[in-house]
Amino acid sequence: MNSNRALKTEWTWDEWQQSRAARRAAADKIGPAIVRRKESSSDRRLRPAFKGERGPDFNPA
Amino acid sequence: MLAGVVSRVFREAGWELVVVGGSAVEFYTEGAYMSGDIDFCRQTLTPIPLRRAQDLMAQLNATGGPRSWKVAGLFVDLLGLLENEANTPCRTITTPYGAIKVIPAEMAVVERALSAFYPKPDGEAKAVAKKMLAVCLDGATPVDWNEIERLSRLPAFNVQNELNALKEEVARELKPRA
Repeated sequence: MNSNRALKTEWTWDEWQQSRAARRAAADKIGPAIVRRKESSSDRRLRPAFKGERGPDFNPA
Repeated sequence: MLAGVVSRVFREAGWELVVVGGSAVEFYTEGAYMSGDIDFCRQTLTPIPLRRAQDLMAQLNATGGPRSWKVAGLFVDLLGLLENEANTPCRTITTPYGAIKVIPAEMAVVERALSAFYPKPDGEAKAVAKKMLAVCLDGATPVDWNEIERLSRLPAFNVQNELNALKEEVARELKPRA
């Protein structure tokens, strides 16, 4: 939470891939694994494209 | 990654795109909040002529348009000029397909907090805001908390009290139980 440390704002692909697990683990500590809106103005195009859902199946890499 | 390819195609044509909204939250929370569309805004002031956008998206075999396309089974939306009050930079992820710029995580936090409480308290939006706060408090998504505080006090957001309360709530939930 220290705002004085240099803020990391750029990632190489390797760095990003390596940090994915930490982001997922942190997000998973609060609430269900996936939070997806029940509805939105995009439903008309999303649901037919994703078997009634608003997006593809969640498949952590 | 689709966001990288789209960003590269537009960048090479002279327009810098930035991932915004819920799509940005997907990046920062690693898919905890996900949908089948990617929202971009244009950082470059010059508008993108619609015909030019269609021609650029044609390179990706996209269908639809002129502001919303289907590409590789997902939807790409181009929402217009970027609105970003943050002083911290957009985050950049250099993928093998092209660099992706994402709206500053500080903006993403404050926007999600705003959606959680206004126009009226919303459970789904609150859950998303809590996910975003969790990755930031954990340090997995680095943020400048002073900038979040500043943004939350701006009249454009005016959500400082709600955000601080939500931050404390998430911090309590993250604390290991004895």
